[in-house]
Amino acid sequence: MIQLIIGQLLNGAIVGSLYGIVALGITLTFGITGIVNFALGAFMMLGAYFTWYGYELIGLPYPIAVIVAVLLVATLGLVADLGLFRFTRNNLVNGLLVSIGLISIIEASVLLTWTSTPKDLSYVLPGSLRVGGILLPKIKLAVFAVLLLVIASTYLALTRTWIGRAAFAYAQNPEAAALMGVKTNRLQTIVTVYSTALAGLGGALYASLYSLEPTIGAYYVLKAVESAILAGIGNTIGALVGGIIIGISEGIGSVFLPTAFRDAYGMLFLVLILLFKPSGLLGSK
Amino acid sequence: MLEVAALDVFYGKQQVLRGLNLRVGQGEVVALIGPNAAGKSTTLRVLAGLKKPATGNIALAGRNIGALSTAQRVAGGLVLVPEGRQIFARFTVEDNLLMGAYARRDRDSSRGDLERVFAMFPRLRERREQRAGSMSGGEQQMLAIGRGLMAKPSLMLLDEPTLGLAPIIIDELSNTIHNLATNGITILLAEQNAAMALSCAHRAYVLESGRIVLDGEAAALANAPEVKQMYLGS
Repeated sequence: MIQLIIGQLLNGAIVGSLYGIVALGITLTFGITGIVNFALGAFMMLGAYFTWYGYELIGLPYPIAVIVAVLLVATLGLVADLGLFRFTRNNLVNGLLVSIGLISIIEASVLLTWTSTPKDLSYVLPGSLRVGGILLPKIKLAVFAVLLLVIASTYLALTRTWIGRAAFAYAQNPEAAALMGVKTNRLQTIVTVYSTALAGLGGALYASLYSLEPTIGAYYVLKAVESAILAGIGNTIGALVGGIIIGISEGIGSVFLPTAFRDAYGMLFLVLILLFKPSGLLGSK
Repeated sequence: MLEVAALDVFYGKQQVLRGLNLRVGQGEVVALIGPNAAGKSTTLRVLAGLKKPATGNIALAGRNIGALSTAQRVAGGLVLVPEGRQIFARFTVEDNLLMGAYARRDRDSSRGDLERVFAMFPRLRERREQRAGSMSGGEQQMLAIGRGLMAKPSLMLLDEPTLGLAPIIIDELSNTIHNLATNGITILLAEQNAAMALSCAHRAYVLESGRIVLDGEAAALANAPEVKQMYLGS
């Protein structure tokens, strides 16, 4: 039983930090461009497929396959920004429509190219660590560590660098940021592309753990939006915390309650927290 | 320093500036006064590059800046302290000031300039770590000016700095403007509070419905019957 619960905690934390890394992209993109980019889920799915292709079909070492996949997804993110999102900035509805259209295009392309048959990566990092009688698979620990590291570095970059401070300033007051000399168009492009790269990384890591299907993006992006709202939109670390809370409550919930309703357990948390704190768990007013 | 010629500006179909000509000499404090909606703010926004004019010329230190972005104008020494302060409410006072140095090439060494701003506004030093949004209107105005100073401007545009401030704070603000001028910063001050603006400025323009209707020495304008009647309430 203990092994089961610990296992579910770790699973919940990993799945949750995958939600979290997509949620971070959602929150950043929304804060800087005013768009809820649902297509981040599709970019995550692309990251997973690119990694599978590089690792399984080309035979690249896994870390290289991940890096190549992230770069490819970021490039597509840049194309999407310059070709589409640039024209929908600060327009929630248009941005939403464009992102939904983009999801269809990306999903259909993947379906056409790689069919709907689930894909699996052969073991990337086999073996487990035994800690106090409990088995912890190495790959899950590694994925979790990378996700934490990337989210923490993003937070540091946002608070310690000029571009990060410009992003924070822009989120508070776009016009004042422009008056400080922030090149606002460029900032929006950088944030959009960085967010797609984060989603791509989430997908690339996902690929080492679970089966790939063209629809995973839709599932993850909904959870990511949920996490972002749970934490309070605009909160960097909160995106991770929100993701992990949802991931763990799904994991633990399905140990004691019917697994079929696992999606509801995280939702329950969201509803409860928003009832008592409408601005989100860590949100300010 | 600043030469504006034949500026026409529209919001949609509505023309808000009509053939505006304006000149600010090196080291001058020039006031732009006029009633609400006369086009004062629009003038400053156009100068800062936030709003594109339909036609007209803007030259800074002899160089045409009409095609430059806001960021390029800031880097070139033209800084707008906007109406309503527009400080970064969730940043500390210090982070607000540091943001002011964003456009500078040497921004990484801008920390030293904090001291100069604090020397001018001792209250900001006391509140250094405080969230800017929690300060009073007067303090926020000082912060907005301090933040503008961090860009090391040669020309500072001040948009309605007295808006919503108590008379005692307005006096303080007049002193600040004198101080800035003594430090070699050229100032263009848009104000509804004509008495304050005319007492600070060397020269002034009176703007009505997008047109300059009067201009001249500030002291002379303060005694002109039209100005007295319309703007000084006597």
